[in-house]
Amino acid sequence: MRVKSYLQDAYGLAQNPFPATAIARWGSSDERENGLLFNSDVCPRECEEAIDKFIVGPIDSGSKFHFLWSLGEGEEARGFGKTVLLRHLSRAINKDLGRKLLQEHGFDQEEARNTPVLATMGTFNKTDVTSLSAVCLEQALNLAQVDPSTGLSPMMVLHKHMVESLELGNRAVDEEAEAIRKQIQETDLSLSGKTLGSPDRRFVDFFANGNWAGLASFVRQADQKSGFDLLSTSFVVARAAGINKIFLFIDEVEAFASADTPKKRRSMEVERFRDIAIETQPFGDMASYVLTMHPAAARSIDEFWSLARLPKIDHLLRQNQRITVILNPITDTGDVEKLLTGYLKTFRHSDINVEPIHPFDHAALHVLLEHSGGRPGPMLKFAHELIEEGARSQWKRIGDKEARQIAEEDRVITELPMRTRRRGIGAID
Amino acid sequence: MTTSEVRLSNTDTIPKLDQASYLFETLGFVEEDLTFDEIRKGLIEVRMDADRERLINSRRSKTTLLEDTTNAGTVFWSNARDALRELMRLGLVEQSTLPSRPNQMLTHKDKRFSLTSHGQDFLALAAHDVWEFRIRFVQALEIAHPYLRELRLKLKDIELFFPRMQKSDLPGDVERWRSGPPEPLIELAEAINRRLIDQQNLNISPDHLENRMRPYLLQAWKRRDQDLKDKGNVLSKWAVKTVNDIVVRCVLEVHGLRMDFVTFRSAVELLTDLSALWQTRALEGGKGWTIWSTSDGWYTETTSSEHSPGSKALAGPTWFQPTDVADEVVRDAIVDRFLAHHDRRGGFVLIHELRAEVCHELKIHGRKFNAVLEKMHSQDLKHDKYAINLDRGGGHELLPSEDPFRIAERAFYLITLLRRS
Repeated sequence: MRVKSYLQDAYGLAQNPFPATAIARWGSSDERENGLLFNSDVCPRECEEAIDKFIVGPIDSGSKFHFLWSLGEGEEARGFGKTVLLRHLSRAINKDLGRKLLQEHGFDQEEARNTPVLATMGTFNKTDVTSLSAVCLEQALNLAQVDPSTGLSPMMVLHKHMVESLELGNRAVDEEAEAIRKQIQETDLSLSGKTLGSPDRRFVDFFANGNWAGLASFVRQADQKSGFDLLSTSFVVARAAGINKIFLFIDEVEAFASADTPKKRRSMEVERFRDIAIETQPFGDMASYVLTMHPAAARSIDEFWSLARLPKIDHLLRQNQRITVILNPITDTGDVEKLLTGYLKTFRHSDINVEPIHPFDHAALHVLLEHSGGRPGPMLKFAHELIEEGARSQWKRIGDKEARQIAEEDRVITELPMRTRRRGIGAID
Repeated sequence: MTTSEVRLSNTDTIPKLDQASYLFETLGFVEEDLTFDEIRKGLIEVRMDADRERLINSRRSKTTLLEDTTNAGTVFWSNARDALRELMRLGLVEQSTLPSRPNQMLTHKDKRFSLTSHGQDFLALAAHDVWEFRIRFVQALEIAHPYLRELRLKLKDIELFFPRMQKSDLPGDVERWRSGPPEPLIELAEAINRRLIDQQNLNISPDHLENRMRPYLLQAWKRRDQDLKDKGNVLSKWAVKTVNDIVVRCVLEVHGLRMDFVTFRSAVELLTDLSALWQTRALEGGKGWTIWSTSDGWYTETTSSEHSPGSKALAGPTWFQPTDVADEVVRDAIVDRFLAHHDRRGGFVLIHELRAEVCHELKIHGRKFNAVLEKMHSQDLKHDKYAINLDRGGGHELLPSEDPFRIAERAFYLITLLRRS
């Protein structure tokens, strides 16, 4: 029997609902992998803490640098959900410029309306996004690209907001575009202090004319070196639309801080980061940063970070507690159930009446928790394997026995056999 | 032979073995009636297991002993000989002739050896109580080796510190070192003097140091005459190492210890492995090698009808005892030292540096630190305010002299604390 047919018939699932990897892939059309199924109920405390420290805090207190940690062991520091959490925040903010989120977190209606905010994200990697300007380009692109969950890009939302706030609704298209261009130009001229120069004209034209495909294509094809300029332009455009705060999320800092990146370059990039983030307008006034941190990365860049007079990274410092969020592993099977249910219900046929966690039973949840060390990424990946094997072996239910069997096969045996002659006489280690 | 017949001469030969397990396993190999060549191969395996556990080969990209096919038939022969010779000296293996040069291997390779009754007693003890076995083995070594006794007695009163001099500390340059030791030597002696005062408040006059070092240095340079054509970097490395070895020897002499560097290093490695002392080169600002005692109990010459060191060590109550402190004391020191650590970059501390400081403060062995840290990691031992988090990153910062902290097959290099909510 075909695996897919068994999934449908026995489990009531359109497909395996869980991701095959433990890595979130932003922009993927696969819902299982692109972070869209993030469920804040799984880690409500951390989500609230992140909103409080990364969003509300910077608006109220002007804090500029914030850190998101997951503290595991080496490679095991991954898979806690840092990336999907930031994507979730970014999406929640950009759909209505933060209005709903702020209202849910202590802002009254008017205050939330008068505090429009924007968020964007960029990710270092070890191949092509290895410099700050490349990350800035990613962030600019993120603002120009359409979010599949809403069908809107942040720039589209911004344009709509600008048209409303400038009361341009009744103008002809050309007039509206001209008014927007003028507003952006005036905003740019009003900037005092050091800037990166005038906004990019083509970017502004695409925005003013509402040519979203053109804007996305233009940013996508831009050279990495123009990352600073295009992000700066995005900031000026946002400011012209009345935005005062933009949250810049930077992921995978460990790739930038790895030993593969020359020390001198790391040092120069951190200096440049400081120059742009603090001393260059409009970043200095508007930008608020969240960096995902990793132990080796933190140690590696700390020296340059301190030399550049940026705030300490150390999460234990009392002054850093209000700007630091630490993601912890899941410890409760109730949360495992919530995590799995979010995925299962998305792919479950509506006419099937089964328990929300079917085909898993509750005993399997313990094994999922144990085997993954409580990290959501590996847990979902393991759930993928169990569903796959369950359908292949035609298990009606996946319980403790089945889950343990796969967990055992999955476990890499690293211990080498003791050599033949050695007896371990007197050994205490 | 009576006690007085156990010869405690002015000189001593410490087996050039860096692990007690070579001796322990050789005892087992003899019991299994292995030949000299099989014992040699067995010890290679012991060494490879130890290297694997300490990640030595992967850390230093070294060829393993079995991969190195040069001298494949004789490699490690001297370790096999030293281990057997030592067991004979302790009275655990019956006396027999052993090769003294590698070309005698052919004659001895099929030779087999026999345990004495005390050797069998030791093996029985190892099966019954591993700690008592180790303790009585240390006793046997101390009875047989005045150098080991002297070293442990010295460490009862003070810790030893040997400054590590770097190339930049040596006067002159590589070209001048081709023809002779670094000059003016008094500058080097002054640098050593300053470091000893800073670290230990030990004032050995530069003149005295210079006078002690000069003959050893001249001798070393004389022996090296034939290699004068070496490349600059090779010569420079040799010069720095030679100077450091001689610094150790001279400082030892000041402390009244009579060992040369190689003997001393073997003694320290053996006693470290046997829990009698602990050593590190990772103390803050130390820039050198620090050694301290982690044991109590001293051998006193008593009348005994037993003959060999092994039989003497087995008789009567034990007197050697590794020191111990409560797990909770070590746990609290780990937390306190972490919070006060000088290099907490990014909120993380290198575990081997933390181990050095905690062990130095409490005068405990690294094994104790490792055991407590593992208990904290598994939450079998909890601190009321902090949980620990270990990370596998940072391996490139591990000093070659220090062992990684491991739990089963996983090595961890970084530690941070998390506030308990």
